[in-house]
Amino acid sequence: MKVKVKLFATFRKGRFKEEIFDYPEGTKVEDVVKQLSLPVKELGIIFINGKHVSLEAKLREGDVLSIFPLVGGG
Amino acid sequence: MRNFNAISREEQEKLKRSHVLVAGCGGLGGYVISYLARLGVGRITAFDPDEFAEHNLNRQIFADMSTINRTKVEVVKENLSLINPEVKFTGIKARFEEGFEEVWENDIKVVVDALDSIPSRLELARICKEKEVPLVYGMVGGWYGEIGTQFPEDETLENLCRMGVKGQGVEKEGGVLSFVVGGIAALQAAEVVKVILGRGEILREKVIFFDFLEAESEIMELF
Amino acid sequence: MYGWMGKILRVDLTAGTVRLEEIDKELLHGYIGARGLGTKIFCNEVDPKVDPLSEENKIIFMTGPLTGTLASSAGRYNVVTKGVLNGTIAASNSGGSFGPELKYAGYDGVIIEGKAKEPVYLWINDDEAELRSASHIWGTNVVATTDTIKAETDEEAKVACIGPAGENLVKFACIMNEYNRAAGRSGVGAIMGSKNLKAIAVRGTGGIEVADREGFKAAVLDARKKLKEHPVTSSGLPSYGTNVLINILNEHGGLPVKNFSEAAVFPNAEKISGEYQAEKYLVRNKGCFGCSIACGRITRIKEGKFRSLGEGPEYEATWAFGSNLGIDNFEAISKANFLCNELGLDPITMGGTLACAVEMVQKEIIPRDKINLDWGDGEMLIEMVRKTAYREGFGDELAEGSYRLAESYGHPEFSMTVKKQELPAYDPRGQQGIGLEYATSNRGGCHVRGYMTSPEVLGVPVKVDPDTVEGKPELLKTFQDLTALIDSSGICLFVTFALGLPEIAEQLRTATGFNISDEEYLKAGERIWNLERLFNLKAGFSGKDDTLPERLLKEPMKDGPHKGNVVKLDVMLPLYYKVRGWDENGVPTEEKLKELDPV
Repeated sequence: MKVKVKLFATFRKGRFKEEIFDYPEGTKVEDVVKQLSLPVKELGIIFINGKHVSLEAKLREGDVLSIFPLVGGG
Repeated sequence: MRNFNAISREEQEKLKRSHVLVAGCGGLGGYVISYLARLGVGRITAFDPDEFAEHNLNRQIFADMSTINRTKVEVVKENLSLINPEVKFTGIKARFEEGFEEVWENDIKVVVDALDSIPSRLELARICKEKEVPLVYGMVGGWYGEIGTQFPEDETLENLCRMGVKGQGVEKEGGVLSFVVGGIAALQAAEVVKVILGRGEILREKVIFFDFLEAESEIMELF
Repeated sequence: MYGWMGKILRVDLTAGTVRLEEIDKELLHGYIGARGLGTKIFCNEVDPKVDPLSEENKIIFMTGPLTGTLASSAGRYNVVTKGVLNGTIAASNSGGSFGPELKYAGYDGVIIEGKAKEPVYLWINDDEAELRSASHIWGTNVVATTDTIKAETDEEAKVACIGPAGENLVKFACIMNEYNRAAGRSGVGAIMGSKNLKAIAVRGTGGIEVADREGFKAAVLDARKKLKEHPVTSSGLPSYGTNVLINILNEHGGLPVKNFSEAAVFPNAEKISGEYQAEKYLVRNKGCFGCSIACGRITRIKEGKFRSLGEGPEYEATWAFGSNLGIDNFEAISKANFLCNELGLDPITMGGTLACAVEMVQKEIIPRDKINLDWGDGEMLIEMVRKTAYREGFGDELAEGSYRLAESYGHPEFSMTVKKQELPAYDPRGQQGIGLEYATSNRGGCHVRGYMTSPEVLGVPVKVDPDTVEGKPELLKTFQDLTALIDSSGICLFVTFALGLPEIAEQLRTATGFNISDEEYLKAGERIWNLERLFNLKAGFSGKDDTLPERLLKEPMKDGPHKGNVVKLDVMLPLYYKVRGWDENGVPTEEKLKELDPV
């Protein structure tokens, strides 16, 4: 299944902004995080299609997964 | 002269015909003047109202046990006669704002800021604009230093003050370390030479910050 | 006195006098400082029904007990007055070094009253203070004014001033200190302008005593350590500034687009994002006084028609001039922001008002032969910012803010305001809690009176569901009270990404020697909140004003993750009143006021 992965802020360094990956069925967010070597301690917001999800969330065909480090502002 | 190769014969001649004004003969000023004299800059005019004092010993190259209590510009003159007797040095015992008008000559190619306060530095910048001459400014404090060159039409120094970033360590920390002064003065001397010779990359519309402690530098572009 | 200086200056502009006064110590413990203390003094002295631009209105500059101390991010002061944009109590908060300098000169604050016959500025040099003529700088922008006053007084002086917008009584003029920091909202700059007060310059060389030196040092080190360890305050904010929020809110589906008229997803968000800014235009980050976070941006547009250099743009300005106007040109947005800084304008209300005007032109409510405005036009934006500050042409109408503008064309529904103040950069249909926050903020449309985006979107300190209404009134009340305490202590709200009530209360206790519990400090925040509420009620506001623009209550979100949502304010508001201990009309009950004694 194809999933679009978007990275933001510091997570882009040495990685990418946006890419489409082909994952096996049943892939979870934490599998993607591991595969991209994202530091779990710095994980902030994780969205699938704009909805906040946990690391255990399963991905589906056509999903957009957005991963941010912990950030704030206002 | 042993500057050959790095500087051509024509360029050496050009330095010899050049006139540089240095505001301040303390830490930065002392080093800058000695560097310029050794390079063979022909004329140097410098200002400083003070005498050497004990607390100058840690960072001012012409301060030693024999020169304490003596007028800075006089001591510099004596030293220059030993370093390079061909330099025509004019030392004025006054703050530059008070004395510059009288001694100003139109052959002054570049002015060096070796002052210790921001208000005087901005005043010097204003005068350089009026006189249409480039200013090489430098600031030191603690382990930090910063340096750049401002041409008359630039506002880099003013922008630096308006952005309020001048204080990121520089001049806020108590005490100045000798090698920081020497290092920043060396870069100032290099800027002077590049401006006179019109060669190399001049730090125009940008400032370099040096952190001697972390061995880091950062260039900040402010037009 | 510890923490506080115990002294204030009272300036009577009508008489041309400056008087030194002891601060009423009874007030300090209940209202802490800055926003709280300033508001208490203001409420004691000014009739809530006063016309904001009249001589009888006052304007108070007030610091907090932590301002200027070693506490991290303690550079804040507040400007308290009756705001001209909407007539609510205004407490406009700014950073930089102006607040600390005022304390080093020996004062907690300055009360300005009356009106000068000719333009003047106030020069405070430690224990000397005088009014000086400002006729020669009237009409000049913030940069020229600040440069001139520094040259005339002391190069190290900190200057808070107004630009042409304040002089021209633009209803959303701000007060700028040290060129680039702003007391931005409610139109506090116009109050200075109405009083012919161009600037306050201050130079202070004294220090601040704290009650328990060792204890304070320990509390500060603990707080600074936590700020250094937390990813938001140690890396996120310094690296990308507040603009990091553009992509987050866009992915979340809460970045308002074209005056909130479209789905809150901006197709070109990447081009106005903090990441883009850092990659292409950032010179470096910059901190306010004593701040380890240093979220400020110095941005440079190197060439082209928008060539410029300045501080910002922050998230709010980037949104207001960006997606809210359909503009995806970061260079135009930056230039417009820098222009606002120079002219002394609040970019949130500027952008909101302009967006309202563009929508009304698109809908042919404002005729095109009067003013031709379109979405996505960066050059138009720059021109309108300038014209607004000088009230030139259509700028004269924009200078009144979106509510008066839309109302004058018979369509107030296109004004995205609460209590006539423009909403900031979060579409509340994507975040129920921020909707309630907007509706109940004591100064109208505002995001920094209880920043619900933090739990609802950022997940700090805990993640809550943005679409639910459950628990939001309770959470919002705590956030509002805590924010009132923080604003009153003189530190920056951004510390709360890493610090909570215990760390803040401990710094307050050790600095001031006022040893009350964490809960009692939070209670002070609640007291301040209720005091502001009472002022607004006396000024003529009522529960009916605790609402949102119709669009947010009735027009479902068109697309994106929160498609179909409206703000369920009718569910949340009664619960909120109850949690607050207010009656069904939003009036604090006798019982609540007794509990908060004194309010």
